[in-house]
Amino acid sequence: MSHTYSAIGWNRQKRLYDGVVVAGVILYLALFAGVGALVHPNATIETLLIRGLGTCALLLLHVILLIGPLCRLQPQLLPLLYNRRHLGVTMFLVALAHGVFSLIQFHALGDLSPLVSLFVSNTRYDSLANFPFQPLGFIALLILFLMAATSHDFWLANLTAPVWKRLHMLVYVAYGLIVAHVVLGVLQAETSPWLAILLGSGLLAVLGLHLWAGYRERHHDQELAAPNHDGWVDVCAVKDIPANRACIATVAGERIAVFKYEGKVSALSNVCQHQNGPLGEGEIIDGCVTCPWHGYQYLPDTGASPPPFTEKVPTFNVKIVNERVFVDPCPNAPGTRVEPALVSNE
Amino acid sequence: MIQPLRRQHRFMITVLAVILVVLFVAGLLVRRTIPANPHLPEAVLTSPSVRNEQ
Repeated sequence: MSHTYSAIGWNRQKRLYDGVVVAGVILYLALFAGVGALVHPNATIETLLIRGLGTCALLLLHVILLIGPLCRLQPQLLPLLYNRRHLGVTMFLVALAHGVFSLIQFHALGDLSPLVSLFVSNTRYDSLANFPFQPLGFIALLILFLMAATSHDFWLANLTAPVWKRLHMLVYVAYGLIVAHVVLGVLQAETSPWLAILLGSGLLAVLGLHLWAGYRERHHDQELAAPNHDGWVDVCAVKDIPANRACIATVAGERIAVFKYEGKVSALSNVCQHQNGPLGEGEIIDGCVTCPWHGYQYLPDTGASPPPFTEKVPTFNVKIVNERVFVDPCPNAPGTRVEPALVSNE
Repeated sequence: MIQPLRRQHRFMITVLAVILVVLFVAGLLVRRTIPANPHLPEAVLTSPSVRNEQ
């Protein structure tokens, strides 16, 4: 969490993370080239490098796409989410290297511009087996560039989280194009079944886990608490909220986090202003609601970040009747202070 | 607030799941053995090929 702009908010954990990722990429490429040279002694280093970079980028993309649903299904894996954007930028750079080397290898030796050659050298769009797969990879690379270029809190703050997240949902379009690039490209020529098995497994894992996590989230959202006759919604019993933690309830189509702390109960939006992380899955640390994704903090009674930070989330009026927590489903403006409800027996 | 985004996300994943599974299966079904040129040296025939004939 920072209130000033810096290119990268380096800390020890991030340096370690990036070091491990870079070392992993180099090790993978070395192993791929080494084993490839042994299995195919006639393969050129250019071919091995292009394939190594391509498979490395594909592998990283699968890891990146698996982190989201895995964290939804297993909150213990949340630390993986912390530096996912660094992994994304690394994946883009590896994919870019694959693209540049491929462009030089296959399109730079003719009398056409390599980029023109990429699009006009094969126009068999009517044939699945001979489909021009390389432009698919190029378009995916453009999307990944757009994402990598905006993969910074500067853009997140200026575009706002909903717009930024919509933009970054293009990763699924890029993933679709890359799978098509591989299926219609190297998979058509590769006689070994291993690439097909690995790609099929990755596809099943990414799509299966996303669908599973989506089903669970949807199921959670359908547990709507209906307002009673005076408009307040009974969300939970006071005793059901762990100390310094929250109960999450879906009210009027949106999730509300009801926190219990220091003998008080406050309700605020479950959506962190930073990256829309689930505030209700975080805890109260140093008197502040702390987002489990990137540690953004908010005061539970105002929904505002402590100075000098400026983030604010909507708050909700809350009351306790007969040891049950009731919430007014109409949100207050972000940062509006609401008197916490007092827990009678604490 | 975030629910429209969630709905878009679910829709996108569902559409992607259908398209990619169909594409993957269709891609496997249209695979065919690339005819080898018997006049090429054995070493060239056994090397991995990259589809650069576009």
